[in-house]
Amino acid sequence: MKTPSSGKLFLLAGTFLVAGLVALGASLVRSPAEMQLARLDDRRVSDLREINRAVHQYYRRYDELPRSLDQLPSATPQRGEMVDPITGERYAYQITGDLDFNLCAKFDLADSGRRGDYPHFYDTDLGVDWRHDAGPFCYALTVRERDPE
Amino acid sequence: MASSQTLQDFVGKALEAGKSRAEISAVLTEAGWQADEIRKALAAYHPAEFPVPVPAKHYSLTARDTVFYLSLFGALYLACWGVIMLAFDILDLVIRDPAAHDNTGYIESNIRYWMAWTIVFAPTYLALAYKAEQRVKGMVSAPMSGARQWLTYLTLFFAGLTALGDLVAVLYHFLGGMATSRFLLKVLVVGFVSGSVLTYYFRSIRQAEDAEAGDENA
Repeated sequence: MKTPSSGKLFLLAGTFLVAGLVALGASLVRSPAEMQLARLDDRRVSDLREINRAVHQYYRRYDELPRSLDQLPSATPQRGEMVDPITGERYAYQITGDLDFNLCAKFDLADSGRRGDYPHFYDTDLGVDWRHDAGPFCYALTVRERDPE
Repeated sequence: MASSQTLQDFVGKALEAGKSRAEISAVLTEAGWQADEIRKALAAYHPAEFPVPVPAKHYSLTARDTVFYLSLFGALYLACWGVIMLAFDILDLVIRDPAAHDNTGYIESNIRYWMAWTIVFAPTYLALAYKAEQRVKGMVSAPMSGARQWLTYLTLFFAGLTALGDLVAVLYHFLGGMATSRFLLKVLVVGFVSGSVLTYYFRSIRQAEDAEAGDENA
C-alpha cells in the first residue's frame, strides 16, 4: 500500500520497451509486400532450375539441345514450371551455341544472394550462380557433358 | 487496521443483535470498508431468520483465482521467452558473426516469428498483470490467495535461477576468451528481463505481506 501506482508504472515501462523492441524488429526485416515479391522470385528461380535440369537430361539422352522447351519431357509443363507464376508468360529459352543456351525470366527484385534465402543462389551440382537483377534477366547456361549425378 | 476476520465477527454479532443487513452495510461503509469487503463479510452468513446467525456454506473463489494466476504467469513466461528470443535474433542480425555463413534470410524469418509471438503474448501478459493490479488494489486487506502466493514464489525462483545461470554463462565465456560484444549484449538482455521480473514480483509479494502483517499487529 506504500506505492499504489508503482506497479502500474512498471507495467507501462514494460509496454513501451516491448513495443520498441517489436518496432525495431519490424524495421530490420523486409515488409510483407517485399517478402511476397521475393517469394515469387524464388519460385521463378526454382522453375528455371528445374528447366535447366530437364535440358541437361534431354542433352544426355539425345546429344543435342532441345529446339524449344516443348521438347522437354511432358512431366515439367504439367507442374506449371514453364510459365511465370504471375504473368503466365513462358520463360524465354534461346540456344546460343552447341552447348550454350539462355534461360530468361522477369524478376520483381534483385537477389544479390546476400539474404541467403532458399533456393540457395548457387547450384553445386550444375555449377550455376542463380543470383539475378531486377527486371528481365537471362542466365547464360552451359550443358556439362559429365553426368553430375 | 482490522483484519477480515474481525470484520466477519462484527457482522455476526450485529446480526445476532437483530440489525438488518442494510444497516450493517451502511455503518461499515461509514467506517471506510470497501463495498466488496462488506459484501464478502455479509455473504459469510446465510440469510435465514434464526436467533443465531447461520454460517453460509462458502462459495469458494479458489478455482477462478487459480486459473487467473495460472494464465497470468503462463503469459509472463511466454512473453519473456518471446522478448528474449526476439532480442537475440535482432542482435544476431545487427552484429554479424564473421565466422558464420551468410544466413540473413534465416535470421530474418526468425525475427518475424518471434515478433508474432511477442505481439500475441506480451500484450496478453500486460493486460492480465494490469487486471491483477486492479484486483489487488480492491482488496488489500484480503490475504493473498494460495495460487497467487505459490506462483509468485515459483516465478521468483525461476527468475532467480535464470539470473544466476546468466552469471555462470558470463563467467564461463569470459574465462574461455569468448566474451564477444554480441554475447555480452545477449547476457544483458536475459539479465534485464529476469531482473525486471524479480523486482516486480518481489515488490508485489512484499506489499501483500506488509499489508497482512499490518493487520495482525493491529
